[in-house]
Amino acid sequence: MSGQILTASTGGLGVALLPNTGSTRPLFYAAAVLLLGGLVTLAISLALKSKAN
Amino acid sequence: MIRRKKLFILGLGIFLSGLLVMAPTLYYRTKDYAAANHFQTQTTIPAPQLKSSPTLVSGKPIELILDDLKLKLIVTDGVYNNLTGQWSLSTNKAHYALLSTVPNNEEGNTLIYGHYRPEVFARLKRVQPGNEAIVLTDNGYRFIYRFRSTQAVNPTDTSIFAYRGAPMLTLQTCSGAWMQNRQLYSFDLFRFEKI
Repeated sequence: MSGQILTASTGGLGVALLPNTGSTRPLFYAAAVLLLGGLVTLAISLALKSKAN
Repeated sequence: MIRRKKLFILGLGIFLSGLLVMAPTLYYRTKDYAAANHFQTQTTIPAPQLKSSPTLVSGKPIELILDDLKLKLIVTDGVYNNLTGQWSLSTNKAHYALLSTVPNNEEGNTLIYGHYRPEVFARLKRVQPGNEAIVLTDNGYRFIYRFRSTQAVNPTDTSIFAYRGAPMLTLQTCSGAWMQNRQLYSFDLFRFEKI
């Protein structure tokens, strides 16, 4: 490739984003587990309350 | 009664913690999609142009070596999808962004990006000024760059593609608690040689 430079002619205009190189999937799953766990715990406490009443 | 109340408070606490983690994750994800969609309707990516020079030496990257970090990676093509705003990405290789300049001895910024994983670019955060990055090219050249500085930018900051100064290399991975930033590591060309 000697004697040539390969470049984007408009300097990257038209490229919306830089590469997404980080995964948020573990955080997403952790949050989902917390949400579900919280809901289950809340449901148990409400069930115990209605049972007591 | 007290135990039930404690259980309720615990459940509420866990649920709110989940919301605290989930909300930023969804926010940044939605923001990126919105940016990609906004551009998609406005512009198209032009084809790369060729510019010739008699003294120019250049080549397409095939391997990246950072001895100080004990990092040696195969480099493959990084392709931009204009419809989704996403770049190709693997879990064990670095990618040369095809819309950036190829390594050369005259001008431009070469972008090589990789996943924030221990086996790819997670250890880049330990790089020190003066550390060398070696890029091997498909036509048998070795371009040696020296680390200068690092900065975190917004994913929509694509100004590195507009750079037209002295030849440099940018290595990119993600940073931030929600991987919301693009961390750019800038290296200046030190020398090049035929292998």
